[in-house]
Amino acid sequence: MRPLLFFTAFFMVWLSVGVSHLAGADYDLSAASYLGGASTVDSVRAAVIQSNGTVVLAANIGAARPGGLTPTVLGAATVDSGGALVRLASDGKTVLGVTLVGAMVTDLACDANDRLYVGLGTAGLIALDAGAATVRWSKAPSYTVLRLDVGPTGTCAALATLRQLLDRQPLPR
Amino acid sequence: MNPDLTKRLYCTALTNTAAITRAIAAREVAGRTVIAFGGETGGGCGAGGAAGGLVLLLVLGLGICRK
Repeated sequence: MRPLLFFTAFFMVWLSVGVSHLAGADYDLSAASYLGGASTVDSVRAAVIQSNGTVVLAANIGAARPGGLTPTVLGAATVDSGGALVRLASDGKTVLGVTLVGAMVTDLACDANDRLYVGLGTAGLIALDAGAATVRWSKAPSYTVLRLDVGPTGTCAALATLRQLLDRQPLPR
Repeated sequence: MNPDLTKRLYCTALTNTAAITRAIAAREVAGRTVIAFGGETGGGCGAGGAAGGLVLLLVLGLGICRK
């Protein structure tokens, strides 16, 4: 138990120091809020800041609709989908738009032209324009996209679980 | 979305025992450093209380700082 207590104490001190640093004189807090609803699986999974300062969050928001805006629905998403991109003004105080892209989102990246690339879990991944208004392309492979990143020109790499392989017994060598 | 929530809520979300920070991004924009981050709290960071304490509504924390 002692190592656990030590680790817990260390973690709490580390967290306190981190929060104090962010909330201290070095940075001024511009905005803080919550985005989700009553769902227990809501979460912000990734954030990017575009060249004009727009903050884009990949978030699982359930039925919540931040800003009271009517969301844009793209790809295989429906009006009931909870996987969303939430675009905020650079000060975080205004919701610019909400785009539903699937049942869930797992990661987000943007290229040098601010185009957005979103991991959709079991639904693969989707590439959108900078305003999250149109689909540029999408991939729905037979694996679960957990993380992704993209190069300046749009070359995208995804870290995924290979369900087909994992489901096989024994695992292939 | 409640843009008027204060630093207190922001700190509460980060120090809540159930809080998990999952996302962070930083960029120089017009000469300023903008940091955006988010995660999940698992509820219980104040919004539920504001709603009467019956349902814990707050499940996300978002903070944006400027240098």
